[in-house]
Amino acid sequence: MEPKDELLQAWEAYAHRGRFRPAPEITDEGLVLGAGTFLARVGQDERGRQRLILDDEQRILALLSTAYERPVTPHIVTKLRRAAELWNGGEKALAHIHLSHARLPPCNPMDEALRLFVADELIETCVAPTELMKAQGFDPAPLEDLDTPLRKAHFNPAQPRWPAGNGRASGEWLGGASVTPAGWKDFIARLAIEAARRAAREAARRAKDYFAKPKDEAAPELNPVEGQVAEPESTPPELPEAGQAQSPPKPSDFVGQDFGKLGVGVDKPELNISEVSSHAIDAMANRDGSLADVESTIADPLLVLQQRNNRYYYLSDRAAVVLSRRGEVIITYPASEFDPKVKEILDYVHQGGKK
Amino acid sequence: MKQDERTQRVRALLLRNWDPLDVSDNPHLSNEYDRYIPGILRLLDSHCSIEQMERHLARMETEEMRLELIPEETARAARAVITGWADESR
Repeated sequence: MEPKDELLQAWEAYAHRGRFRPAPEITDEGLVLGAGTFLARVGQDERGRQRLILDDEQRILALLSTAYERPVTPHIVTKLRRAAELWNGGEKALAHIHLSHARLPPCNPMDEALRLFVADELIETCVAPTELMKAQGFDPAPLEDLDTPLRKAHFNPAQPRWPAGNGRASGEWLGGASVTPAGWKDFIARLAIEAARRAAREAARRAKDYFAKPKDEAAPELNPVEGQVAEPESTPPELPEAGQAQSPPKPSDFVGQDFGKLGVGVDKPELNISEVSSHAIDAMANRDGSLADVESTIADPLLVLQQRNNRYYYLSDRAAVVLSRRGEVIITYPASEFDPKVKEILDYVHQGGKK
Repeated sequence: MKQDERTQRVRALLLRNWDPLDVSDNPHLSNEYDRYIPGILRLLDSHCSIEQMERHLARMETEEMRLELIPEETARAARAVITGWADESR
């Protein structure tokens, strides 16, 4: 099999493994971008505490430069360092605000994410980050100026490896005669084109299968995160009888209820803060309220409404937060800025849905 | 027209015709789009086209607010802001 085909196979398997992240996000495992490529890993310090460790900043810059096809300013590293400090200090939302300040362009699956994956594979197989920069015609000097020592990228167990015992050493695809350092840029570009072709063929196959199904066959269930507004249910959810022990209100109590312009009740989506928009950062700076309120509202809302344009409105007694389906904070405002309509909805929610 | 009055008029135009965050019903959030007023005033003062205004609003929606664009709504808003400003300036 051609080295290109082997790498593409690995990419296809890898890209379908989990959630795609168009913007960098810090998870319990590390700083992730695209189709699960780790820019940095979470490890433990000497006291056994979980720490996001940026121990190879040259690698990060080379990965990002390859992904975005242009040299990425070392200033990004400063933002990432600060985000790591905040994350390690327990300030998760603030860490993501600093990540958003890095202003990385969106990472698209067939472009930046694929190049990011390939760059990671290249570095994993002993290509130095500076060499990767040079091969693409980028000045490696900014990497050399970083005050962290160059070290070989560490093994990433989450990524696919060539199986042991298959007769090929890890990285052989790179060492093959068909891929030389001078050809890396072209190699990555060819991979991107081939991956796009394969994805297009796969999409066409799925579409053909879908339309070939009999009309009365149940339509596939839509992923709520991909998002269509849920249809209001014909009957309101059942409520406990008076005198029965009542649990605190939760979003699932109001699924399908129409709250007018604010949206339709849905169960709490599986979303985490991936980024905070510039608009929201500016608004937060000029309003009362705290990041803790934003975080707790997203973690433990009383009500979640799906709004038009794939947005989710989280409401608690402390704040309202609107998230995109990608987990970006679009807007947030504290309880002191709730209007009478929102206060009325909160009363309704606290009364278990009774007007 | 004084600067303060110009700002107030653009604020009202944006809330009435653009309002991509659907906040115009909340009086506490009437300043939600204030950060965009200077840029929009510059465009209006330069007698920009509807397409230029549409591109500007679209950039605010996608880059600043991280919204998913609904092009027809943005186009309608751009047209309404420009015609509304022209009407008020007569």
